[in-house]
Amino acid sequence: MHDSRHNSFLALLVGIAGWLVPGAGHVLLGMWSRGLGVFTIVAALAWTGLALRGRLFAFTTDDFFDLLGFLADCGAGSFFYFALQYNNGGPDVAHAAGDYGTRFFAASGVLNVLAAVDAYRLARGDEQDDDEAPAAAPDSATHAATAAPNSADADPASQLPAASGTSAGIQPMPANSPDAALDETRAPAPADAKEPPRE
Amino acid sequence: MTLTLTHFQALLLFALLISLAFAFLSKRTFGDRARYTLWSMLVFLTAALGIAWLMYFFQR
Repeated sequence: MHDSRHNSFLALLVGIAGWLVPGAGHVLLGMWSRGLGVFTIVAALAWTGLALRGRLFAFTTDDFFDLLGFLADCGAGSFFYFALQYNNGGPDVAHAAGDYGTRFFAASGVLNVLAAVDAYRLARGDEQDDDEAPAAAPDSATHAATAAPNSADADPASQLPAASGTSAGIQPMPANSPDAALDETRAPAPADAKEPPRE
Repeated sequence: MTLTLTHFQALLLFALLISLAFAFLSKRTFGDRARYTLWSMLVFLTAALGIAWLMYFFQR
């Protein structure tokens, strides 16, 4: 219980780090290629947005779309702060390039939030990455099943959402089976099964 | 520093960067990322040019 709370807190820190410095969340997890890739791409989008003289949104509650733009820009984390300090002659509202610049910078923020959430999920252990294993030690049932695929703990149904079916009669299927992509997690209904009476 | 891009250059650059980001976040190996980037970029460009041509029929 205590470890679980501790891991959740660390995962939250990883997510916040990934938001503040794009790619930092993945780097903290030891996923260097993904982290550096995220940093480079988010930086390229933000720089292009500024170089095209895009508009940076300020906080406002008067216009809903301006508020959305502000939230998207905030997603770029520290890049948004540096962009606010960088004076590039103001937004270019007379040409389409300025409008493109606005979109480029907003896209950098949205992608950075996506990457930060990805790092958070990896740190929590909600998602398994075989090639670049996260440094955090998740304790979820998913990882218990992954670590011991042939043991009694490796019930594949334990990896499913509660609403997706029952675990009765489910047999593990090889990952390379052509049927693996199908949803075979539901036990087949007996031929003489009757629907429960409706009330 | 300012940058000057045509509409198509901006479209190409945006599609490339977004496709790269999706590939880095969703794929693990270099080959998978390269294939996904190309595929995603192709879809981006096809959709953008397709919608652009569709708008031709709704001009004012």
